[in-house]
Amino acid sequence: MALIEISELFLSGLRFSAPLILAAMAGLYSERSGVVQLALEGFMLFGAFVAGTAAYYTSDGPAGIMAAVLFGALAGIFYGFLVIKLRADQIVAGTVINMLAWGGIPVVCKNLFDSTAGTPTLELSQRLPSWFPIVIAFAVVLITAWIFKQTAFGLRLSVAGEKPEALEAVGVNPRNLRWAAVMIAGALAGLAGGLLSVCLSAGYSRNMTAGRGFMALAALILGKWKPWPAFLGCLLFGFCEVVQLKAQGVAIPFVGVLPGQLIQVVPYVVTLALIAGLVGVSRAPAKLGHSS
Amino acid sequence: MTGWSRFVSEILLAALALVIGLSLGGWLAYAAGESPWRVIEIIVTGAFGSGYDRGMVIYFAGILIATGLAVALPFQVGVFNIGGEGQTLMGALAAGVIGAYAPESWPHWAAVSAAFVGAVLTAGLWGSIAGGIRAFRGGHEVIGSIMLNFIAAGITGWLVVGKLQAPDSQNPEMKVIGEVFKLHRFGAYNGAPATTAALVALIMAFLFWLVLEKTPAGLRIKTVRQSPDAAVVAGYDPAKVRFWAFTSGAAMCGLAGAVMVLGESWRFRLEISDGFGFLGIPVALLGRGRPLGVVVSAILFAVLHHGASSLDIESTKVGRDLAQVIEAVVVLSVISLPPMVRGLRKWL
Repeated sequence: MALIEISELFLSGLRFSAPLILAAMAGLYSERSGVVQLALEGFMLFGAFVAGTAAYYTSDGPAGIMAAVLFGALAGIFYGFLVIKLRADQIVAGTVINMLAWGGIPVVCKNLFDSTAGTPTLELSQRLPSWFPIVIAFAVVLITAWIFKQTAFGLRLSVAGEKPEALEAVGVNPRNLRWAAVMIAGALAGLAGGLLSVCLSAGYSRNMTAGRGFMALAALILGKWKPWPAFLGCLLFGFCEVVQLKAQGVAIPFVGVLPGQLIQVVPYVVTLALIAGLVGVSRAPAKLGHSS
Repeated sequence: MTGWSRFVSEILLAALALVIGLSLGGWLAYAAGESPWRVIEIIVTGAFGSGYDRGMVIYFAGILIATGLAVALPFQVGVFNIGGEGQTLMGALAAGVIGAYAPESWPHWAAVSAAFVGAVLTAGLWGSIAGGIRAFRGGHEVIGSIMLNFIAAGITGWLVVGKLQAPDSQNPEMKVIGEVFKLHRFGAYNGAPATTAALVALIMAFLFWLVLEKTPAGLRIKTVRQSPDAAVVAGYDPAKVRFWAFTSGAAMCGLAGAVMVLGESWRFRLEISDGFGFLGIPVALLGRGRPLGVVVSAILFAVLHHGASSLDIESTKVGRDLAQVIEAVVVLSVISLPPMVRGLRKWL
């Protein structure tokens, strides 16, 4: 493989990872505050569709992405209503959000564009460059790491997921923090989806997230619910995915032909071994799934 | 609440959830410019209009009973099986490999039994990884199951595309299973894959009920759900009960996978599970985790699923995806109505 191909592979890996990184950070806010986040896939898909639609109607890429963030935040609030206000089972509630996205988006899409396949193709001028998501993703990790390390909000968010009694003792309601966390999660995952459709493709296409929300969740767990390790986890998932797509059937010196699908599953196997306690320890926030 | 009034309130909840789901689906169709009555008519005609359609509903109902039980069984001990897709895929793979490579000289009953047993064992084994991680290592079964879904997709993809691709096909699929492995289709359904497999699924639901209500194992399951400490006092390990509940649930998906291969497609192909493993979740939730509930909601979902596919042809305004919205709203109602009612009572 020539150098140019390897650097192209590297860039594709970064581009693939960028939405994953944003979605993993979305999951991080929610889960560190004690709320399981299985709805990332749905939030992303909503974001992708809303961004594609808004960018098409306004002919403005950034407007599309803003709309995706806004809609994501609204979806996050709806999720919060289910799990914080109504105290519904968090896993089921997340599944419901995903089902609403899988079924609802094609219905609306057909109504708007007379097709369930996707939004109309965006012109180059309506899109944003593909380096943009990489920069945004990096910035969000930087900010997230800072928030959790340096700010009172970040500290309280972690305490809400670990020892909510301690917050109540000082007069802070942990549920308010969780409301903020799920709203941020929705907004960030919506952003991830928006960037996917407006920067990395020419609009929304049916089920375009293709499991990336779950992939981000896996990377978050692989990264032990911490910003930088989760970031690295996303890169691992992203690169393995790209190698699978691009290096299919390519012979590499001394290695031979790569079995692409098997490389693709490596990060999942590692994550599985991690939660089984076979390699290292990845401890979830103490109140994860038991908070409300 | 006594057993009986609890039973009635759960039926009421499920019925109300269904009504809300259908109403919202109807409203959505109306908003999209299609008459809700016409949508219902299309779905009902699509599901029951011809022998073939009725056969398809029977086929889908059998599969959904199996994948619904796969969620309902672990649910009894408070464990959530979200890995139905991977388990179904692995079960179907086993059935496909046995059917394609085992000798054709076997008698029909032996061939079919071998494929079913292979599928059920493989799916159970696959699920037992997540079940074991949960029961004995404390890792979350939902995360484990999601990982296993991805890994199953990767392994089957590698096997089919790389190793066992049918030479006569352009699609990613294995070669056709032997004649003796094919399930006989009932004559009345114009070639639809309605087979005895649907009866097997019904029997499984009955066995589930029998084990739960009439055996010591059922008592253990109930004890673990209500009070794991009491289980320890009674002298058995709640972890083992959780493990076996999860594993036997996963094995049910093997049944679904085998039915898909031996009954319908006659070969293993990628993405054969096509969301049915996942659909077990709403089926089990609407069925309130009870065997009879699972059977009833599986039939309802089968009608909805097959009936709604006619929308793609009969309506220019809404398509089959409407079914998934209805399913989502049904589950949404099931989880949000009880707390809302409680809140309302408090408020009054």
